[in-house]
Amino acid sequence: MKTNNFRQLWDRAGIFVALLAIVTIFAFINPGFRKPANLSNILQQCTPIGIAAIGMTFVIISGALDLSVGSVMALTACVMVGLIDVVGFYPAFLIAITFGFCLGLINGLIVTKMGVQPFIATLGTLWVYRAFAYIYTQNKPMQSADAGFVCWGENICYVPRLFVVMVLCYLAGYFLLYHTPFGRYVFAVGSNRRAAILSGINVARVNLFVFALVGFFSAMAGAALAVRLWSAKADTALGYELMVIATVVLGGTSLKGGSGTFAGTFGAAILFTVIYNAMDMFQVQSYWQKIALGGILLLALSLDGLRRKYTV
Amino acid sequence: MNQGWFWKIWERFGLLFVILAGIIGLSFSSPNFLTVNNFKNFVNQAAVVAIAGAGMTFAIAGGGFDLSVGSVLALAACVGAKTLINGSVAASVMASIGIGTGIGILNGLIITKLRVPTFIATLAMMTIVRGIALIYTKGRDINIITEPSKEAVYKFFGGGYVFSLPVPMLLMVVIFVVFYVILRHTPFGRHVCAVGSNEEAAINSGLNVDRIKLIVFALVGLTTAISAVIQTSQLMGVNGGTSGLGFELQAIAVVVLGGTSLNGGRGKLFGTMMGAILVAIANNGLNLHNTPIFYQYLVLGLILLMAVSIDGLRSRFFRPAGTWSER
Repeated sequence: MKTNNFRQLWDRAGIFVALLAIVTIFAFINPGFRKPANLSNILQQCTPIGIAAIGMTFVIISGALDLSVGSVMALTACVMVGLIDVVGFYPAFLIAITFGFCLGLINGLIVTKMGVQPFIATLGTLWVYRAFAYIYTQNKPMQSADAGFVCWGENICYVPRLFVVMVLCYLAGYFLLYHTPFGRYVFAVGSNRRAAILSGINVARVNLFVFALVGFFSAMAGAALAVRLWSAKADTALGYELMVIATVVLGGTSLKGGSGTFAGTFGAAILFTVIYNAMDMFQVQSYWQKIALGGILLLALSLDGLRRKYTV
Repeated sequence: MNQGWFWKIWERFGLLFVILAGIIGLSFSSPNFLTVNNFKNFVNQAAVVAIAGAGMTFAIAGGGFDLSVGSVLALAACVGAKTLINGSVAASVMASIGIGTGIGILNGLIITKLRVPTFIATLAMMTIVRGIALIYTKGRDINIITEPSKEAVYKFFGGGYVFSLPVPMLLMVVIFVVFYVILRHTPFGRHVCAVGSNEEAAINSGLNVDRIKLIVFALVGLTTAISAVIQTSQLMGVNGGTSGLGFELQAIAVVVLGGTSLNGGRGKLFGTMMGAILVAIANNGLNLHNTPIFYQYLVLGLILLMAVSIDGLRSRFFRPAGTWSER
């Protein structure tokens, strides 16, 4: 039984052990890495993917998948930055968030009302939303120097404001998933859809709301990305959906649905950013970074797969 | 419950009707649509996606899909292009096909031996292979400039004619016929569908599921490599970073357009080919009307959504268990 306890502990805390080990090693080796400015930079870099991963964790636990995340991020970011100089930062932000929520709702309606598989439905909207972003911006970069917009990219004594926002988002997501009936329904729907239907859960409504949540968090992530870059373009966040899925899966959420943790997603988001940042510090070519990213994913998941193969 | 004659006809010929409607509409709206040159254009476009789609149909029928095909297309094209510059045409084609099939087998090994979920395994390979393609080409364009005799032979794959029919089209038809026979009329094809519809049952009935999956992913790699050769021969150049970007999603989309369900267990190869032709016609029509390239995303997304919504709405009337509109 001892191994069992160890395995449970590893499942829970493994990602943080890995994160701690990697940070310690890099901090020893590279003086540039351990500078406080760089560490706070890491915390800021991880916010777009980290926030988008909250919604993705929900949707993967519910047994579905959302491929339109990157496109929603780009479209809402473009709309927000485009509106800032017209209506001011905060109204623009609220409009963008609501817009993202509605885009997610459309995904959800296609899945639940039209009966389209989530993978296909969101693959379709991936192209449609991205095209809207191009049409809206006419393929020109959107910029703004609004004070309210820029100030969100600053730090409060080495802690980036964006990171604080991300932590608050995680707390909200955590509360929603573990302390509300809705969260329990999400687990129920993801682990056994038939059983959830038979026990009287309105499964379609749960799915619908989960997709709307993904849209909401994607819009937040898009806003974070725009704040980081002070601008937005139609091709921002291209391919982010797959990075976000990779982050969630590295965090220990199963693509089969029904299980997953926010702590894992949080750790994985930071872990990826630390590795990217360290590779930049060591001046690793960006081409090799792609290989490293894939390699880490394969390594983590094959350790998991082999463990299941030989222990069950 | 009887599904009604309308749905039966729609299921068989719906895509064909849509394609015909598209052809009729476009030939009215653009004088350049119904010309031999233009026919060549969109058939060549369709062949590249369709051939990789044939392999993808197998993967989806087998209950998985391959996200690495875009990167494999790029790497196979890069290796083929460099080999062509320094070596013979035969060596170049062999190199492309070897790389494609090799990575396909590697995908299969990762999935079966290391037990990594298909989605994640091919996603990881997508970034790894893209990285390799970029390192191999140092991020630069490769333009095929070599002896004219070699160039002429290589151009045959993407732009040649046999009995005045374009070679890509012939390759596409041959591959689809061969794959159709394999899927429908061989034990292996039945095994693929068995694995796709219920893997547990397939294992329990004594099928060597690992080997079947390995062969399926090798086939995906092989077809992708053939697509790479055709595309490289058309463009006579390749960029490791941008070639085939998003190609995996297009390939999956044409398979789904063709009526193959992502649930696995069935593959509709003829539909895949029709799906690829429909997408090529739509893109071609947009090009003829000089619309910016991003409208192609819009149309591709809308076609896909409409096609699957019609299918979904149909099942909504009957609401069978296990669909996403079930309450």
